[in-house]
Amino acid sequence: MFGKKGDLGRPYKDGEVIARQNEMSGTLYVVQGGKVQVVLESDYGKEVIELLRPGRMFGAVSVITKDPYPASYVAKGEARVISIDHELFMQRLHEDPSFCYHLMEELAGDILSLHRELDNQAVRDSLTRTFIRRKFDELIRKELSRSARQNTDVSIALFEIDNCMKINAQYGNEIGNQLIRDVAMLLQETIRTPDILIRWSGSQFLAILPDTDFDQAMNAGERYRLAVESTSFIDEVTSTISVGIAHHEDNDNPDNMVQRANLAIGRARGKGRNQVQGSRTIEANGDMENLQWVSV
Amino acid sequence: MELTNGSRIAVIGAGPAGSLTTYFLLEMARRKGISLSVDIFEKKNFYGFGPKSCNHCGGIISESLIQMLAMEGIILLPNVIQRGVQSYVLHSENRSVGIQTPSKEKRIASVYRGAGPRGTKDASWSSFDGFLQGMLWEKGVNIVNKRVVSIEMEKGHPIVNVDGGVHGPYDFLVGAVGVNSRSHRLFNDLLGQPEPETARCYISELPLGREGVDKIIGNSMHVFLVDMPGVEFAAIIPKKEYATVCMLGDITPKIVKQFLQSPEVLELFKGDPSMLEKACNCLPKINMAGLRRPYMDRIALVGDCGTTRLYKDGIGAAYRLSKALASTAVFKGISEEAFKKGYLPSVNRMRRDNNIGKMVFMVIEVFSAYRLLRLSVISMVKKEQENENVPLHMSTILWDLFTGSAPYTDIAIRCLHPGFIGRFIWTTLKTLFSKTQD
Repeated sequence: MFGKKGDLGRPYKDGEVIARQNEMSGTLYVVQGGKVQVVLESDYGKEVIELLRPGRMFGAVSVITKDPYPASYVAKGEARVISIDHELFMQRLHEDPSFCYHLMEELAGDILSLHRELDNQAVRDSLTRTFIRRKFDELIRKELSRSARQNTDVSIALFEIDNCMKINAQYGNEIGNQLIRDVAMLLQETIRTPDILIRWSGSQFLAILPDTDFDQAMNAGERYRLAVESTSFIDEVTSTISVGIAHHEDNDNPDNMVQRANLAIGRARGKGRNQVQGSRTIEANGDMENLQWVSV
Repeated sequence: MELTNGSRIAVIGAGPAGSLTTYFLLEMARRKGISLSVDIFEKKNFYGFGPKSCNHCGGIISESLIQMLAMEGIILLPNVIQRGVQSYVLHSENRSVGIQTPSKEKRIASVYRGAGPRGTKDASWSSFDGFLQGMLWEKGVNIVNKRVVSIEMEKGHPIVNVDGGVHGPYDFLVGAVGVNSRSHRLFNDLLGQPEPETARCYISELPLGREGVDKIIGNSMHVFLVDMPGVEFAAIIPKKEYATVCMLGDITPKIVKQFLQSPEVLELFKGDPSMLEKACNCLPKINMAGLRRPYMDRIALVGDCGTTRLYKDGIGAAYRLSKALASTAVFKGISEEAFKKGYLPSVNRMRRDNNIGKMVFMVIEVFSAYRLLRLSVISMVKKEQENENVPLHMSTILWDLFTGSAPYTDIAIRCLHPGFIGRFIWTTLKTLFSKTQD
């Protein structure tokens, strides 16, 4: 564990592999300084799944079950790592089992965050990490009942990435996917904390905007549009979005709201895209026969 | 008598024993689901330099302890560690032989317990004791920077009198005052026991500079097998920019002078006595025999003022005993009876091992006293290091003895191994024969 200069903890250079996925070694590691990346290699390529800071342990599974390492551990920048091999670990464990308490806490924490991650995976879109469409009913119902209780407004904004199909055709699927992911990330950053972003279809997202009336939603929609318009994404590909706004009216239901937002998007599309359109009923009573258009 | 939610605890002394006891008390209380309020009394501040913040310079920590602490969640920062020692060089009779660390996890590292020796102005390192203290501060421990004048019992609870104030009453008090301040006398009357027996060792810091240390000392501990009365162990240990001269046994200034002028030491320094100018030196006391019963209701002693390991691995001993004490206090109680059941067995195990250690060092003293035996030790080590097929008997025995890497009982058993004794007698006879031929 001492480096060449007689320092404590073995030093690793940036990118140096400390333990490799699927290798058997049975060594437990503790990060002493710097950072260590947990890299998962699969058929889909390499993915950094976690960044370990000083004090964090890794390789415990390999020591306890003698299974190969479940991931690779790679130094991020200069890192120092203390190692404890299987024999020493077992010897100490029998001398003083309580020395494993800290490790147990770490492992329990890992299991807990894994559970959270799995829960998340069931309701989040794998590409954009936004909620999946299936969650919309549940989420909007929650917001509507909250707004009824607190007597506040709820609006929705439907976004459509303009010319997504064209970009896909021109640059390929991978770039198209990356664009969708980047736009989602930008929207996620632009919306407020209580707002909820949902992947609606291939190139559409829907945001639930609690505590927001129709006019405020129109303004918010314009803000999102501007944010996307002024950002250049991968390889300087620029993109725009069309936004359709609707808000919850008296005697209204979620399906009608979505329908109005959809109609508004259709109108924006017809008027040349890259704009915000809103749709509401004339009496604001959910009467879908009497619709009114509003633009920014 | 138990610790409960909100119990108040006083810890006197923030050396390794006091700090580690505090750490484990808080940690184990958290596991039990209670919270404790701890005041730790320490007059020194480990962030200055020289005597004011001196907690003696000769700190050695074993690699296995670094690993254990990491497992416990205490990650020593790289800059606390001065230098990892991966080999040792044995000097005797104008000969020297280098010995590689016998196995991976038995290496040791040097640390500064305090901030650094006299004359240090700006240090690229951190104090070991200061590091532990900082960790406690982050955990919300109240550090009282005052000298403790006396400890009294009030309605069965200890109270602490400091210069200009009273703290307490406390539910539990831990004494971790070492043997080098007068503070350990605070406990004599309370516990009705004499002070621990002590001897003097010698520590000095040689300001060789980083290059000087690299060139002359390297990453090796230099151990000297010399025939001097009262010297059980004499070594020079590398740090970052200094080298520590360490002599254990019952050391006097006269012996120190004799040692530093010995041909073996001068040879290491290429005959240049100017390199032996010290930045500072001291003759601190060390614990030679701990207390039989280092506890009473609501009070317990840990570290050097109670029981520690003879000569070696004091920080490791502090770790083991402070953990035993903390787990007893949190899970078994803080009565005399609870300490007897939970804490005393660990104390006694160490005391027994120390008794064996004393015998081992007596044997070493005998060996050092005779030139023939010294030569035999050197040539046996040399043979073990040069031939891969020869078992590393003597090398590992010496390594464990010099570094404190194994219990003395373990070392003694290995010394009594017939193969080892046979080989040693054979080497001695060969040495004797070649000597008569000279």
